[in-house]
Amino acid sequence: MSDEPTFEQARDELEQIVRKLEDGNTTLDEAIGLWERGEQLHALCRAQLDQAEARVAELLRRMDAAEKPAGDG
Amino acid sequence: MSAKPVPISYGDRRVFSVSGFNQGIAWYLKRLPAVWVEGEIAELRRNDRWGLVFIVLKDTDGRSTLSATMTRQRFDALEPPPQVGERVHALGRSEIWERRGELRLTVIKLERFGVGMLLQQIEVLRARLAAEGLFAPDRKRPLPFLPRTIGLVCGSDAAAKRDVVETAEARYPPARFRVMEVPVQGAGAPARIAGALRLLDADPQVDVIVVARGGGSVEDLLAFSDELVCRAVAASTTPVVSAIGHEQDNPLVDLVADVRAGTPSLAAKLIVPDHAAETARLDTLLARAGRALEGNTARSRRLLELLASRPAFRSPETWISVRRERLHNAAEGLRRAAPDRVQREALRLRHDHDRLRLLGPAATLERGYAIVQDAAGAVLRDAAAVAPSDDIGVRLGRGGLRATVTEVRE
Repeated sequence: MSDEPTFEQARDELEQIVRKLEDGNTTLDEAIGLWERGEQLHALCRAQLDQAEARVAELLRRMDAAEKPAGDG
Repeated sequence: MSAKPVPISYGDRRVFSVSGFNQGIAWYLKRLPAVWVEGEIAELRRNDRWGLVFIVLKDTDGRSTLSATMTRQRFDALEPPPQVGERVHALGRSEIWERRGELRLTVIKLERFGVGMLLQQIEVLRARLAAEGLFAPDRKRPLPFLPRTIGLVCGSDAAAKRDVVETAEARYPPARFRVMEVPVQGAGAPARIAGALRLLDADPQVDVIVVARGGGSVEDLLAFSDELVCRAVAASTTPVVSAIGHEQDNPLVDLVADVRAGTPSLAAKLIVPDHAAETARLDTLLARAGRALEGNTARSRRLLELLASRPAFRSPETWISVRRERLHNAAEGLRRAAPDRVQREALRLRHDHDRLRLLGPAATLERGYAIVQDAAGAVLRDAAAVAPSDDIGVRLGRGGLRATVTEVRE
């Protein structure tokens, strides 16, 4: 695993954390640590998602630009 | 019965007994020399159990007959066995059969005469040539389909020539002949026939040779059983068709020839194709080929028309537009897919985050509470757990603080 986890790895870990917290078998110290890690993972995922969204939007814009002159109008 | 018989005397009449008479005649006959008798075999009786063969000879006019005997041993030595109806020369002595008083010829030597003799000679030659392999089937060469020139050996002004030429020309008008007219009977005939054969064989234009002769007696056809002629036919590199006499005649040249035609006109049918029949066959074939081609073309045309009438052919833009549409749909899918995925992930992430916040202390902290942790990160519940100047962390609703303890209240 590299320093930066992939989106899926980060999201899976986030979901594991959520499940652990829901079980309620954790000490407060552990829960706070997990919560802190969860927030961190969320921020990571959010950033990657935003990045992906931006790339998709850019691609779509370029596709539209390429299609317009050749299209049937 | 060598003794001369003695008569009984009745007065001055001298009388002989029957046997005495017969003996007397026999005695006289014995003094005659052996003579040659020419006749036709009218009857022939031969039996394996008998020592003698009984023969009746007659003149060809049939008016006189003569009984004859021959030892079976002598008779059986004759090859082929003489038959009733054959003309023979018999050398024999006159004898009387004493018990019956019948005169007969005791034959010492029997020879075929005339046709019989000729047939015998031919038979001997046939056996000799057969032994040499001159009649072997593998010597037979096929006739050409269409000879450039037909060599014809025949008698001068012969009906056989007319038969061959006319029949051949009727079947195949452009037929070309090289005719060698030669004597076909008589002493010099075989050499002349053989010479004509060699001449025609040497002609490169001649692709087939016909040896033709109309009907005739065995003697008339003799030249065509001659060794000279047979050998000339065997030596010919050009295929030879024999057409001698009638269907029932079998001169030796028939056996040596590559093809035997029963008659001259049959020979003509063998050497040239029937022009009219061949032309008709060609016409039929050509017509069939034409129809087949026509059928093919029509079928191909229908197929082509069918293809051309398909929408793809009638309006080529359709198959472009179909593809464009498909591409467009794919692009649409793609365009939808990527944002959808992002959206889905975002939704899922928000959901996860909501749950995280619900479970975590975030809501509590937002109401103004704070969590205090020691330098190791343990949550502080008791003020006694820290001392002045210890570093502590404070977690708030939004963000946190790093602080130093200045006072501890118990």
